[in-house]
Amino acid sequence: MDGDKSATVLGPTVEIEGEIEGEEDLVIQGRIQGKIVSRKDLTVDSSGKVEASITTKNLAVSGMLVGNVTATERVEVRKEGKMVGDIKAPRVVIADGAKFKGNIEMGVD
Amino acid sequence: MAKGDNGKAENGQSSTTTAIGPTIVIKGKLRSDEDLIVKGRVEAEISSSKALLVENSGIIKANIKVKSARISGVLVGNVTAEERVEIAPDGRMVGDLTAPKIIINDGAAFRGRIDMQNFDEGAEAKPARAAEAAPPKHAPSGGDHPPAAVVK
Repeated sequence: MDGDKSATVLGPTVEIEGEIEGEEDLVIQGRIQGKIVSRKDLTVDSSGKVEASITTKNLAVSGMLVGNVTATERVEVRKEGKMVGDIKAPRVVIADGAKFKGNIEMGVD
Repeated sequence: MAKGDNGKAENGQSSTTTAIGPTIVIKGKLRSDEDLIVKGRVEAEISSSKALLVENSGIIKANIKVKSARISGVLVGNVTAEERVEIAPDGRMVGDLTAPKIIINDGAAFRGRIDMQNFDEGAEAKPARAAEAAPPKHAPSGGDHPPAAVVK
């Protein structure tokens, strides 16, 4: 895929309890519990399980996410994705097949 | 899944690797069963069944339990490794090292204690064998704690 831009991929066996902060794309294939702050794109891959409050630019969920999300641009829950929590973002996409429970606030004004 | 590893294969292994990029900061606790490359900052206790590589830009401030470790960056904390720990010429470390094999390269900076467990013989296992072979000479005189070797 887009292998040339710098990204950190936290592999499927990686488990983190705590806080992650970064200014590069982040792909999560393992388990994260805690808090994630990113200024770039965050992806929860299909094997990823995240229980965290998230602040990011873009978020794509193909795995499982429990927690509230604030995104400055866009949140997408893809068709294999499952999410429980509130979303606050100007653009929100929930794909056909995705599971979602929570509030969505797009800041309509 | 190795697609994200900026395709460099710097360790020449086909096994999965997680590279924590230079802008990433992790705090808390981290567990993994794959090789870890740290280019960012990790203030999280790391326990891994595989190798850990702290690159030049990497900073770790925490205690660590891994199979093996190579430090080219900065590590502050205690390290316990099953196999080996190597501090590269540009590596800096403060803390205690426990591993059967420890290499400190010329140029490396280190402050701390080193414990190469199987100091006498290549006896891998715990001092269970040493108990019958030769009783430890540091028998505490009048110490209230029993010699560890007796306790099986």
